[in-house]
Amino acid sequence: MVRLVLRRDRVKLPIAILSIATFVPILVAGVKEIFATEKGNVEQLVVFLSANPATRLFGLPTGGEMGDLLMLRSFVMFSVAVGLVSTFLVVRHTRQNEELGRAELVGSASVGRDAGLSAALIVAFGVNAVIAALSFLGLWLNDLPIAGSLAMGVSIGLTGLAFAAFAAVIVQIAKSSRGANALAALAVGVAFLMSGLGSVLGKISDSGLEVTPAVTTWLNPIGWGQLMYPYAGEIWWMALVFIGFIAVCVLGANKLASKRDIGIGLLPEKSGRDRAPKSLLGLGGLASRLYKGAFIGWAVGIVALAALYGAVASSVQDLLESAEGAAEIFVDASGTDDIVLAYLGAIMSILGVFTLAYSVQLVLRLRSEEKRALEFLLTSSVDRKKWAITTISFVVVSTALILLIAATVAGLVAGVAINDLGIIWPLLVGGLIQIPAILVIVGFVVLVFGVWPRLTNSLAWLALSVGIIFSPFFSSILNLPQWVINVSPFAHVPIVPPLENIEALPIVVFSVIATILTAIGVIAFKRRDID
Amino acid sequence: MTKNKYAISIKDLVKTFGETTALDGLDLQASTGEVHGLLGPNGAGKSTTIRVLLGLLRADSGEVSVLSQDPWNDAVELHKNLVYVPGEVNLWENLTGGEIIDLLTDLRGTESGNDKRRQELLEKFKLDPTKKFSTYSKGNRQKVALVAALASDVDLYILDEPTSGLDPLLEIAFQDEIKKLKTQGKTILLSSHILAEVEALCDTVTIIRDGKVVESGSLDKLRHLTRTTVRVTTNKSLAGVKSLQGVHDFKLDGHTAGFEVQPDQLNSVIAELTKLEIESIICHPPTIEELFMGHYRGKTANKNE
Repeated sequence: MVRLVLRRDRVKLPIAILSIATFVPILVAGVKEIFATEKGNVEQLVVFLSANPATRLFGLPTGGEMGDLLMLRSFVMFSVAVGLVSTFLVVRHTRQNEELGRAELVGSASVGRDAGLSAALIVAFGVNAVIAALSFLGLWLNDLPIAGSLAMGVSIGLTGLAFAAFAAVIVQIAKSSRGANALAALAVGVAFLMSGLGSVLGKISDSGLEVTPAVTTWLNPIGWGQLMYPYAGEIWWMALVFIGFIAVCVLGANKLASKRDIGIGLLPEKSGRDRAPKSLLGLGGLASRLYKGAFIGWAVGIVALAALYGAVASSVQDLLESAEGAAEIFVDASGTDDIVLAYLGAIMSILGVFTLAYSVQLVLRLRSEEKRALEFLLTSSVDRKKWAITTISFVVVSTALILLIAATVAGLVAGVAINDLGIIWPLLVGGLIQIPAILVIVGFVVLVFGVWPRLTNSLAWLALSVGIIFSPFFSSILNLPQWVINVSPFAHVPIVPPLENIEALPIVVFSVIATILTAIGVIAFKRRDID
Repeated sequence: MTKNKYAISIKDLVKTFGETTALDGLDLQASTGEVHGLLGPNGAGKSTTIRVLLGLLRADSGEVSVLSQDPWNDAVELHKNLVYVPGEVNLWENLTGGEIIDLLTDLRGTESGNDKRRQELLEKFKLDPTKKFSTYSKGNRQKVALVAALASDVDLYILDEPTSGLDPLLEIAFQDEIKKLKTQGKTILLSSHILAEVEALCDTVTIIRDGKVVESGSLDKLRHLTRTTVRVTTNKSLAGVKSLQGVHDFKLDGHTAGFEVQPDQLNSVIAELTKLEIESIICHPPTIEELFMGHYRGKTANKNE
């Protein structure tokens, strides 16, 4: 069974392990390079980061050494990553197997009833052990103290395993594997918020280097990892808390599994309406019902990000002064001396790229609907063109809405932070001018959907990657030649604020290109066979 | 709409997908008011034919007319007067069955006055409309599509293996509904694998294989062209049966023999068998697979022996 799990995930798991584990030395090397000069810088940065509640959300300050800074900046991120990898692994090999009927096939052979669950947990243990070991090596070989490195590696591994064990309980309860995935991911999110809240509400020491966390940190695996205090007087017995939690979850999951029928969770699927509400009828109603979830999810995420970026606007001056390389990137891109404006211009650009990811995955629903229920719609007297345009309109309107809200929120928060609410207007402009560039890529996806439907997904992801990687702020880090960068429409979007950067030409050109691409796609779709 | 003699008329239809030819000069006529069966093994082109009739696929060449309209160019108008149920029903996982039924009937523009009919069908097919689509079994998913289709009052019903997931009791309910539609003068195109279903419902049948029509006509007529399979055990020796007229593929194993009989010689062969003191006998009509296979048909039968 374990081998079956390993074989099915022979690509996914190594990629996950490698990307997490290689990130450790890269991060360490990066941090070391920036602060190679003198120790005072590290302390200064920790004090700066501890003073700002927005940044405390992502870590618990524990002191002024390199290891402390590393924990502060990266531990929560690693914990969330291993948490998600571990939970999805467990769900994939338990409930999802059952739903796809694989479990019946295997279960009818001579394996124990709990074989699936045990195999998934054993693999999760192995994966986290490897990640812990690699993280430890990555830290220790970079000249960090051995005890702290070991504690950090172990706490990352134990956090992952704790989430795996918790996921094992959730899969017994949830209504479906999708539900289990959502619940387990939610658990990781809640743990993140609780540990963050603990740091935000905690008490800052006089030196400004340490924060005594509030009680919520004590109530979740990510917090326990922080409370092991790697590099800051390791508290090894915290490992027992982890082990106790993991043991309780595993035993509980086994107990629940013995009471449950294959394929059905302990929570029954709720009944819904027996009649369609008026709001569902019609193509527009159907589209809003189908895509509402994705819209709300992405909107909340992007707006939260916008708020966070807005909140640090006031302290950006100090931050960028302490890391000169970053300041140059911002100033070069926008051509303004006002570093706060330059920073906010960069933020709009980044929010534009995030929104692009939303728009592309949503416009791909054209293709997934074609494979699912489109034949029902079309044979129910729905016009093809009307259906495609309804879906695309939803993408366009919701994209604009997300950018509008995100820019307004970023402007409000930043305005309060720097005491100048007038900043909202340039931010709004900066957000909305991203729309034509996004729609060029959306239009490209529609074109592929109409002309080469089978390539829709692969070309869409390619276009998205090009859009992201060659966007101004990623490409400047990668040091790519200008002609490569110019492939991305985002390379031509003016950076606003400052307002004086605005140009009409790219906006007009992009709007025209987007319209033409979309129109060709829709016309081709009207003339082609339905898959 | 003017009442045409044929609800569906296909002449010399060709459809290719890249290198493969799915339909190779197919002809099909279904008269208004009849239940027309479309039979064929997997990959014969049944679903491709139906998808052309629905305007989902574009014909390479040939004439296709459905309810006197061109399914490719007049799709939207045409679909107000027909419904379609596929064999594999994939709909929106997070909508309930009831919501889906309402949505589909609403899109077609059917008057909402058929609430009573909807309720009657839900009860008849024992479908709980409050469950999310994702929780339905294959059979229940098909019921969602069937109820949505049957609740619509249209002229033509195109059903592509609509009962492959239904249990026998609901299969009867389905046949009952189809018979009702027939008495109302509706036209039904039914593609199926289940011979019993086709026998019970269809007036005429078109059998296709490799994208071509193998046989078309009334079911009785087709039956006539095929042999009956016999397996018999007797007290006296069966050796002489082999040489009787109309007996084919004779195989003897002690006192038991298996063979096939041409329909026109059935009576005389049975008469001979009774003289041999029958202990047990099993006769069955040609199975659907046997109907598919060309060499079972009368016109080639004599060449085989």
